[in-house]
Amino acid sequence: MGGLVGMLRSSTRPATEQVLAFLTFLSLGIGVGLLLGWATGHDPGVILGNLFEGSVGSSISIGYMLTAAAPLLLVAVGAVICMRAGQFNIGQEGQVTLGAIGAGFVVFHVDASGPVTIVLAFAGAAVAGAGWALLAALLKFGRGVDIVVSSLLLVFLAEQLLTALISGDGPLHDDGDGVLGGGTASQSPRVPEKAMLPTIHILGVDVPLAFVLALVAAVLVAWFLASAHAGYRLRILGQNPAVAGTIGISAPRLGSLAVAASGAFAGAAGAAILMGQSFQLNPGVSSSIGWSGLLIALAARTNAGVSVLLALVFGAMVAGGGLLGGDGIPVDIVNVITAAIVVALLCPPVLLAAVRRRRIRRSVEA
Amino acid sequence: MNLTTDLETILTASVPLMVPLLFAGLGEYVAQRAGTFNLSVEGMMLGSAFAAAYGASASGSPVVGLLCGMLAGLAVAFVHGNLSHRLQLNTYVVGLSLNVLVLGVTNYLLSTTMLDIPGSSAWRIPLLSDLPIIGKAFFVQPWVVYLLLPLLFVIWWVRRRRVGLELRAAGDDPVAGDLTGIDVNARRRQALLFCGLCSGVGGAYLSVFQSGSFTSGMTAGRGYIVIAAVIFGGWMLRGVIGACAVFGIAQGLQLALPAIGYSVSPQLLAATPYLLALVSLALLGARSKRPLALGQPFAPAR
Repeated sequence: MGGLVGMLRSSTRPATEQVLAFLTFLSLGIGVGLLLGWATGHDPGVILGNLFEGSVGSSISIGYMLTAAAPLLLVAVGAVICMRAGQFNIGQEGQVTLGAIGAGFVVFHVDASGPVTIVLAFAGAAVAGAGWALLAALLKFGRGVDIVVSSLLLVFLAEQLLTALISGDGPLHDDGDGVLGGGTASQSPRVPEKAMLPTIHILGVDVPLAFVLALVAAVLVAWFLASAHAGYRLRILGQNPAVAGTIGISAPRLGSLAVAASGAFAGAAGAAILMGQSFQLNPGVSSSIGWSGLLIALAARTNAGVSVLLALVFGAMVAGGGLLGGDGIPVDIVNVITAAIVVALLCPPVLLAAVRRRRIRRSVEA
Repeated sequence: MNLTTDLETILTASVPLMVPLLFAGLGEYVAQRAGTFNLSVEGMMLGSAFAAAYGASASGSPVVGLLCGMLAGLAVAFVHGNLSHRLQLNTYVVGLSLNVLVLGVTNYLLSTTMLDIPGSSAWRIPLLSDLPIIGKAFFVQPWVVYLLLPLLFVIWWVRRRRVGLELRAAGDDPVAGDLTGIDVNARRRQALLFCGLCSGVGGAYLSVFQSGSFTSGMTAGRGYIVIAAVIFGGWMLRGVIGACAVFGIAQGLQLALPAIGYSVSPQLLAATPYLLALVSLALLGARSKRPLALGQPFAPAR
């Protein structure tokens, strides 16, 4: 009996510690952001109140929060896959852009019923995102180019590609029968009504379809990495490429697949943005969601479950930020807080390792 | 239209665009040679552009602005260095999140401050400024630009001195460096601080000396172009300088080509730096002279 309790304690204690450290540093990050607000003459209470009110204050704001969280979660889930496989793809921002382009081609050029268009758009987005990511993987495994470098460079090429496609004579340019500024401005037409993502009414909240999809993806990926055979091989490749080689795991093949998968998820996020949020392609359509999603995956230490939590926190920031303007507080405080959260969340393992070291030293000295 | 005036137009448009790339690029070159794949250079430039604008407008002096910019660059480098080389956090993650943080902070502060940046006149170097084609472009510039020369000399001179060799050891073979008694992580932090200083000058140039204003996110990806320049330059000093020049001209052509009567897709020109970097990497492949331990954390054995 005592042995069982001891076993339980020793297995749960690190987890409790981790949760505690996570929460401590989460509030530390928020605190740093609020401190800046306070230093520039804004009431931290008002900031927090608005963020709370605008994200979970009413069923409508919960809907906003989930809409904002959906693409972030999709990107993060993809990033988790390739990071676990040891592939440091940081080009999600570009892959999101390509996803939006892929979805745009379907939405503006394919004439089909609503549901068919949406499915095709997601497929197009995933293929485009995966293809863009695969370029980086090919450069790595074919030519030995660092994937950090190539995926980063591809982000900026994606931006220019998008601008070229939606400006002037580009195939996605708004020729003027659309909304304000059509004809000259670099933008696409508006997404037709039938291709806008629907919401599902659950417990009084209009849950956006994209969020449901993202959540399903997160659960599937968590299961895949924890239990599936292929997921296991992926993790071996990530943790010890040498071992992976000797047991016959092909790094180029599996690694490229992992990178392509992460690109596909980022691409899907681009489709979710186009059909669920922006409803139009413009030069900044990805609006840093690729970067934020990547940071979520990293701050969550490539854990799909924690990614869900963090995507919700980030979504809450975006949704809650909308209310700040009414009180004269610049919305950008939200970006400060989210970035501070990311930096703060990187610290717990360091702290925990230090605590562990001290505990070991003490037990040795005792 | 004749060739001389066309070339002069292109160079006059390009040189001001090369300057911030060169300052930050030389810093990034040092940081990368010491083993830090410094992604926060965008944040360093943006933060220092704001700090310089703020300092210059509060004091009425461009010199104070420049110093404030350098301090801001140092501050970002200090945070980056301590998180990634003292606490051993992933340096890519630290760099990216610092960029987001600086973007947020500068946007936030911009909306709460009014800026009134004092003008700074160009220095006309006698005789040289009368040269055809290059005279106007290279020798009629704000005084900050001429700081590039001593900076270049210092980097070139230090390369083969003790400090330079130790920095390169930190980037190429930290284990061996550690065994010979070099504090690898301290060297990496110092290189990063140097990069912060240089990027600070680049950022200050952007806001105070070139445009005379600060706008939200005004670095517009220059930090990433700088990273591409170090890569495209093959991690060699002359390569980096050449790459910054090429990328500056690619940007300058966007302004100059319409002026001299050509039309080229602006997107294609904007994509040029990244395309060149990718193509050169793909061609060089594993043969590029990349610092061997670039981006890898180093935990000294105890």
